[in-house]
Amino acid sequence: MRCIAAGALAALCVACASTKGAAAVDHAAQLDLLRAALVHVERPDPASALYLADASAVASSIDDAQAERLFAPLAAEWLDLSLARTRIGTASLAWLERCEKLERLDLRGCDGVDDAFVARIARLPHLSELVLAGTRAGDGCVDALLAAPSLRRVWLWKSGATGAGLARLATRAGLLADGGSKPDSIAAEVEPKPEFVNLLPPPGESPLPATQVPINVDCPVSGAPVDARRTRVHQGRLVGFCCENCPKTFEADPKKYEGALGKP
Amino acid sequence: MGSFHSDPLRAAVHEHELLLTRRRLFAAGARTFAAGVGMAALGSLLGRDALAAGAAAPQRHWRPKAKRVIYLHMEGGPSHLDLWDYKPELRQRYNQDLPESIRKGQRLTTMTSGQGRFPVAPSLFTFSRYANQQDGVWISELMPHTGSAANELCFLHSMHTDAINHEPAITFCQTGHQQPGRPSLGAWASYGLGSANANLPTFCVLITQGIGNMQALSARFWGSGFLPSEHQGCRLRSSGDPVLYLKDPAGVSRTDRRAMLDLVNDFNEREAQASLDGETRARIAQAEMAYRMQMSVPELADLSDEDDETFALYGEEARKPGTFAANCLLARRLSERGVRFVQLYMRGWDQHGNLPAEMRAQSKAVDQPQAALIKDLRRRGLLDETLVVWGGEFGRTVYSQGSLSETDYGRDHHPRCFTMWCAGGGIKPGIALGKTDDYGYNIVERPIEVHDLHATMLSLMGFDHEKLVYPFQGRDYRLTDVAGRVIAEIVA
Repeated sequence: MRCIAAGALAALCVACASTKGAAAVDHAAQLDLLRAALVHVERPDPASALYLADASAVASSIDDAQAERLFAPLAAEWLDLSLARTRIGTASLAWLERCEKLERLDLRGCDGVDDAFVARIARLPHLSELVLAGTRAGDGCVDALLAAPSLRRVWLWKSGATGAGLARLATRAGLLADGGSKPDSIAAEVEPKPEFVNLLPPPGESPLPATQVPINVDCPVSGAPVDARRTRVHQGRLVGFCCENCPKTFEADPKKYEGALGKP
Repeated sequence: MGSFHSDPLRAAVHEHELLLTRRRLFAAGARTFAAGVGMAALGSLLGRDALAAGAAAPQRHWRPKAKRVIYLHMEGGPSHLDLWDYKPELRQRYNQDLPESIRKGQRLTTMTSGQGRFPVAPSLFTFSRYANQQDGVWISELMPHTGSAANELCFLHSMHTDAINHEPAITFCQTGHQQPGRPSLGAWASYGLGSANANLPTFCVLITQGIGNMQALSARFWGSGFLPSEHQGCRLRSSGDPVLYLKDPAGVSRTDRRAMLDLVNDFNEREAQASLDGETRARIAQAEMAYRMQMSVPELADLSDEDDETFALYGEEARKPGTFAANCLLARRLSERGVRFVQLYMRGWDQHGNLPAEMRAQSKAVDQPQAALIKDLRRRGLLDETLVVWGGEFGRTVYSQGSLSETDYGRDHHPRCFTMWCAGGGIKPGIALGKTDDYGYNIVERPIEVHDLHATMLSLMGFDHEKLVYPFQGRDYRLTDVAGRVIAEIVA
C-alpha cells in the first residue's frame, strides 16, 4: 500500500517542472525508491510541490553513489534536504548544484564536506539555511558564504572555522553564523538572601501597623529579646517574638499573653 | 475528513464503504485513476487510505516550523513558586494566613482541605534575573544552568488546568482529556507527521526515576487511544534490553527471523485485505519496525561515539543509563536520527512535604542536562526545527501543607496556575508570557489553557488543530476537543 500511495502522490505532482521536460522523471518510481531505501520524503508545504527528504535512518550507508541514485533525479524538486552524517563528498556536487529551489541543507557531521564543497553549494540561489557543524569546512569558505545570495543562517560548530572566520561572517547584515559558542545568559541581578518577616498585612483584612517596629522589646511568651524577623499583627499592633514557636503559643491563647504587651 | 455522523452505525457503514472504494481504486491502479478523478476527491481518499495503511501522514495545513518535539514532562507538579514564578513580596507575608480574597473558595485537595490554617510559605530560594530578549526573567537558584539558557526560553507563567490530582492532570496534559482513552500528544504527532525514520519508532518514551514522592506512570500516557496502534509511544528502558522482546531468541538467526516475518506478513496481508482491519496492517508495520530496531536500537544506545566535552556539557550523570542526563542525551540522539516525538518523564516532583530538600535534589538532576539539551541542539543546527517543551501537570500552593518553618515546608497541588517553558521549533526565544497575582495563586494576565498549548504545538508542526481529526465511533475527534487557541504571541 505504501508504494501505491507514493505512486498516487507523485501522479498528482502536476506542477513539477521535471515532468514537463523531455527527460521527465518518473516521480512515482523515484519516491518508491527513496522510501524503499528508508529515506523519509514528504511535501512539507501544501502550497508547494517541492519535497523534503531526511536520510537520518540510513545516513551511514549513503555515499556519493547512493546519493546520486536517490536524490539526483529530483534535484530540481528539493526544498529541504537532510544529509547529516552521510558519507557524501565532492562527487555529489554535480547534482547538489542543480538543486536550484533548495532552501535548507543539513550537512552536519559529513566528513566529506570541505571549503571547496561549500564554495560551490553556496551559490544556490534560494539556499537560506546551511548546517555545516562537524564538517571540514573552515575559514576558506567564508568568502563564498559571504557571497551566498540568500543565506541567512549557517552553523559552523566543530567545523574548521575559527573565531576570525566567524567574525568576518558577522559583518554581513542579515547573516547569523553560529559557531557553537553563543554566550550564556548572565544573571544581571541577584537578590540578597531572603529574609522572612511578617510585616505586610493580608490585603483588605487587617490595617497596616502604625510602625513596622514591634511594639515590644521582649517576647510576650518567653521573655527573651525579640527577633525583628519574627512578628505577627495582633489587634492592629506589630508584635515581636523571639523564635518561630512562640507566635504559635501566643496565637493559641492570646489573652494569656496580652498583659505583657501593655494596653493598645 | 471533517465529516460528522450523528449516527454511529451510519458512520461505520460509511467508513467501510470508503475502505472498499479505496481498495478497488488502488487495485485498479492509482496512476490510471488519477487522470479521471478530481484532485480533491482523490486526495481525500488517498489521505484516508494512507492513514489506514499506516504508510503516510495526513497532508499538513501549512509548512511546519517544528520537525520534531522533545517534551520534558515533570511528573508530580513542580512548584512554580520555588523555580520560575518570582514573588519577593511574599517574604513579608511569611506565615500569614492566605486571605480568602485570594483563595476565593477555590477547591483544595483533601490532603489540605482539613487544615486549620493556610499559612503563606514564601520560597526560601534566592532568585536571579537572567538576561533575555525582554527585560530579563527571574529564575530560582535551583536552576542556574537553565538560567544560562534563558535567551532561548519562552516562559508561560499563566498555564492552568482543570485537574487537581495527578492521574487526571497528567492524562489531560498528555491526551487533552482528563478521562483515559484518548490518543496521547505523541501519538497525534506520529499520526500527523508520520515517521522520518523507518528504523526507530516515531514516538519514543524515556523515564527517569525521581528523588521525591513519585506517582504511577501509566502506559496509556503514551498510548494511541483510538488511533492505529502503530502510533503508540515505544518506551526505551534504561537497563537490560532497551526494548523488551526485541532480541531474537537463542538459535534464531536474522535470516530465520526475516523468513518468518515474510511468511507471517503474507498471512496478515491476506487477512487485512479480507477483513479491512486497520489493526492487522498496524501489526505488520510493527513487526517490520521491530525487525529494523534490532539493528538501530543498539547503535542508538551506544554512547561510545560521544566525546568527553559532551559529557561535560550534560554532566557526568549522562554516563549512567536511566538518569535524566542520560535521557536528555538520548533525546538528542533520537532527534538526530529522525524520531519525531521524544517524551521524557522525570518523576518525583510531588513535594507535599520536605520540599526544600527534595527540590534541591530534583532540580540538580534536571537543571544541567535540560540546559545542555537546549545548547547542544542549538549548536548542531537542530534547535530551530526542534520544539522543546518543559512542564508538569499543575503547580503547587502558596500555602504550606503541614507545618511551616523558615527551613522547611510542603505544598499541595495547585491547578489554578503554573509555569511551563518552551524553546526552539518556531517559538520566540527569550520571552515570557502571562502573570499571576502577588501570591502566585491566581492568573491576572493572559491565562493559557492546556488545550492552547496543544493547539500551538500542532500549529508549529504544520497542523490546524481543528482539522487534524480522526473518525471514531461516529464522530471526528481531535486533540483539542472543542477548545484550544494558538498562542500567537509566542510563535516566531
